[in-house]
Amino acid sequence: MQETDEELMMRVARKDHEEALVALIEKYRGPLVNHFMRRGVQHEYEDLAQETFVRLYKARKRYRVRAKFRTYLYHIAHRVWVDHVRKSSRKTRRETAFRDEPRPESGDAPDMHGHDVDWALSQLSPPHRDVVVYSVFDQLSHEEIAEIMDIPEGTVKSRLHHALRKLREIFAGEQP
Amino acid sequence: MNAPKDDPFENDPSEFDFLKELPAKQVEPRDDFTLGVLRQVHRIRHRRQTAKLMAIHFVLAMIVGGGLLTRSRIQQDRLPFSVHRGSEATMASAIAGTGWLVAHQEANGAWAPEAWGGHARFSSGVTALATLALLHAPDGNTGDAIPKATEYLRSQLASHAPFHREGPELYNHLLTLKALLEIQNRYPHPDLAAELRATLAHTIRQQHSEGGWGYTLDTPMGYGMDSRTRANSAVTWWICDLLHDARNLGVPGAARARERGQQWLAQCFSPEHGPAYHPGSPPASPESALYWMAQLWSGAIFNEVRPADRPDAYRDLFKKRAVNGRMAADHIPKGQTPDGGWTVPDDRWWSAGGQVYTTAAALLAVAPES
Repeated sequence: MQETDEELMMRVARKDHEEALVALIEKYRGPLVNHFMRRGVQHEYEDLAQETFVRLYKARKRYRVRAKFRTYLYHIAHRVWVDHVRKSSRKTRRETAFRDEPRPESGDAPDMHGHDVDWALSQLSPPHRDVVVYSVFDQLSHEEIAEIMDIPEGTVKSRLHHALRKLREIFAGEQP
Repeated sequence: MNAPKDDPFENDPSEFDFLKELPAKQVEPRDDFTLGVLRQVHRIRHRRQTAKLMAIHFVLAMIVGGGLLTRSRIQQDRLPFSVHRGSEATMASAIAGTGWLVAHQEANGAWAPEAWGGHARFSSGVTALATLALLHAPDGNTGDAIPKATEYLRSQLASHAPFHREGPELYNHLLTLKALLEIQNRYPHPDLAAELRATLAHTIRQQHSEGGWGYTLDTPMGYGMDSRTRANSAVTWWICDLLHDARNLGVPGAARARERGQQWLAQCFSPEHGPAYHPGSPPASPESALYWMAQLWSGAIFNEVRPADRPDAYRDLFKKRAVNGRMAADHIPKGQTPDGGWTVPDDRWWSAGGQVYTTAAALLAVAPES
């Protein structure tokens, strides 16, 4: 039977098992890299994802089995993100600008105003963007997002509500 | 499902579905992403172990008057060895054999097969085998032998780089890599990792177009000139095994090379034709190492293993692994002398490795499966 993420993490925490760590990295590296990209990081998303796993390893002894592994990992990723924003804001403002990058072929997908997901997300304020990324793309519950971002669950809901309203305004009723 | 309307901020998750339908860039992490994380993890471990050992050494130095802190880093990194699980007789035999090896190491860290019935040209292969045996020593009481051997093997690794030009060097090269990979996997060291990566990258470049690796020149070990351009399943098995040991090192193209090697091996080890050195050639006998490599490769399970006609400690290394360590624990190979070493002049490879080889291989045969 395949081990759960929590069981793998306990092996890392208790026995420093590298195989278990590799299994977790292989499973979550793609989602984490794309998570940081959706949050507006343009070039360093892989570095931040790697930093998240390194901090996960450093914090392995603090992991308790009652915690859901995914929430624990994203909580660390959130701290990595916060540190990154602090660091980069010393040099430049947070990256939320429009990205003029070649877009992938859209196929049959609706292409509203010729824009993509990252453009749409970049139109939101950072707090709104963050909850949308967690909720829509990382598929986390309101409760998990609240725990990760250390904010009340009601705040998560209100930010999502306002983000949705803003996005609807942007697309001016063109959404399906 | 619609959200309850008594909470003005409650959202139906499906209301965001239109976002998912927009074109979305997806990023695939780099191939060496995991390796990059592991490198940092190894550094963390290394710092932690070094700090602990430094502390212990500091206390010891305070007691015995210093000197311990200057030992090589690899020795500082040594971890406790696993407890031997064999009988008391096996344990005693292994301790005596380990003592023999440690006592007969040369000052430069090598073992000299020519002094013990073998041939000088196999010094690095025999040293690698002895190092592997010491890494599995029952009580870890090997003094400076492993760090010294490691330094010697690292110096040989560079000189083996063009091994494909020197047939006899091949087994020196394979065994040296095997030992150094085990050392690297136990006690990660960035310099050694870089050396191994470079050597393995070179090895990968020697892969034949059909997927195997082969001998390239005639050798005194009995392989003919036609092997020069022909892939060989024994060599290919070895290199696939080494690439497996090196899976965390991030050698470019290693996974693909190993996969191609395995596909080629499948042609040699097919159940229809038995284990063969080349696709379609006559099957190897159970007296050969290749036969047992093939059993290991296929994961065969044995109810009974017929004793071999002729001693061959090299073959028995694979045979032991293939029968899941059942030759270990209470099985002590024949030929141990009162001084702890094994003397088996009728062993198939005695003239190559001499007593150092038979002793190291016997120790590996009695070592617990790791």
